[in-house]
Amino acid sequence: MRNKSLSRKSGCLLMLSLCMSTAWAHHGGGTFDPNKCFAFKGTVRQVAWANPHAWLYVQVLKPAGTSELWGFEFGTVGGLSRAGFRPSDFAIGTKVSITAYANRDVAKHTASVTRLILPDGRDVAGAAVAGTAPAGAPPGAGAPPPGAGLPPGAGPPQLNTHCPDYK
Amino acid sequence: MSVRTGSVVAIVLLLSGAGCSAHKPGVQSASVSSQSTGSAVLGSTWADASKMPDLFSGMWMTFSGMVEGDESLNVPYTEKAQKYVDAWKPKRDIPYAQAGCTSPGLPIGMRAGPSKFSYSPGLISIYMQSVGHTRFIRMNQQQGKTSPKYYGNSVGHWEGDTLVIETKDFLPEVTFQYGVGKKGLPPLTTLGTANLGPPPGARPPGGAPPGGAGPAGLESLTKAIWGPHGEGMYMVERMRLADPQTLEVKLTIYDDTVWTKPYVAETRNYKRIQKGISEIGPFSGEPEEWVCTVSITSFDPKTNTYVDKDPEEMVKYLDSLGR
Repeated sequence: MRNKSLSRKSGCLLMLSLCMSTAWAHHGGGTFDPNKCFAFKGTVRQVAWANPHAWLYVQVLKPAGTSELWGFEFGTVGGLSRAGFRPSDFAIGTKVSITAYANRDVAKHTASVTRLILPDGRDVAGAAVAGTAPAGAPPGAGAPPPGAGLPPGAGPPQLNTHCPDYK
Repeated sequence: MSVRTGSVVAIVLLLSGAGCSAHKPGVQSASVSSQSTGSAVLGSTWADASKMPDLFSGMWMTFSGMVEGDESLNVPYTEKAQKYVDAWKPKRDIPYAQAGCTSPGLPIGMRAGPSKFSYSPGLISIYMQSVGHTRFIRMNQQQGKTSPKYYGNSVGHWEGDTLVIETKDFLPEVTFQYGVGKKGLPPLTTLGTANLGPPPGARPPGGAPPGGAGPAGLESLTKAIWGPHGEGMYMVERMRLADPQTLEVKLTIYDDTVWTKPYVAETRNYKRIQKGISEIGPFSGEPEEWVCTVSITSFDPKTNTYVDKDPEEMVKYLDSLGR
């Protein structure tokens, strides 16, 4: 008996992540901590438009006015291209807001992205473009937060509110 | 031409025609088979392109997980392999991970992303997008003398509606799954979900594949035992369209240095991905480039640890590329 609607939706998301992010070979999500989700703000310092994962290097702003260099992992360049993004969208100096799961090792400033918002309001989110979901994350952790798919004219998308600001 | 000569000519033609169609599989006969429409040498002419089951439109993708997860499929090990298995420590992450995302070879390459089949007379090529490499299946030919290859040497032929591919002579660099171990590592400390296949218990659209549900992705990866193969290791794949959107693939691996019997993998169903047609989502079904240029976070199965490239070093490197 086919359970088409539910399995189709989850199949779509999973399919997207498999199809677009064939980043099997080097690691799963054990690097990143599902309990350390943060909201980051900063400016782009460099872009690695590469497979198996595209990475963005960002000077992250801290409340005291200092900044730290962080690396943020996305999905494959195929997935990003398909979602309409290009390296030029992440030009050096671009101001970005990012939600991501940080490395289990606090000394390593890397994180796996669930969502990134560009200055023009475009939002890089979804299983096709997100970084590896962290080990032990609840189902759907790599998926866009509720409300991500806003209808036109609904105003700029908001980041996950349950991820505290990175300090 | 007199009637008698004409009759003789006709008889000679009839006889030669009958002789031409009596070819067995495995015999190289590209030039002769143009007169044959029998399935014995299907896959040797351009005309065969429209006669073969359509493995070529769109791309194929499986949801059954990349490794074997069903312990009941384990077969007895040789003494040497049993020692290896007894000493095996479960990996925290993908057991076949290598530096720089080196391809895990077969059968993983066919399972970790979509694949595209192409045909020209005497050759079926399979582009495995998950690794960005292509397998070459020489149709209706003998193996002959082979040299070891990453994906082995493959010959294929049709048996009715089934494409049978025999592959042998693999490079020693490639490792294979011996079976499913008794214990993995607890999921909380081990694996992510997004890129590794459906979560445990997930069903592909259209229901579970025949023979039961696919292996649980997370658990399977940490329980999988991976090891070197013997020189004589070979594989037989049997592929057929279970329906126009489903390719059923059966795989048997033979290695008498590892197992005392052939290892029969779980039958896997692949779904056709084709723009506007596939029931499983809006995909173009067109192959894409996959070239691994820099692996920034990687897992080392030998030490069961993660290695991350430092952001400062990566920025220096990217600056040096002139971006």
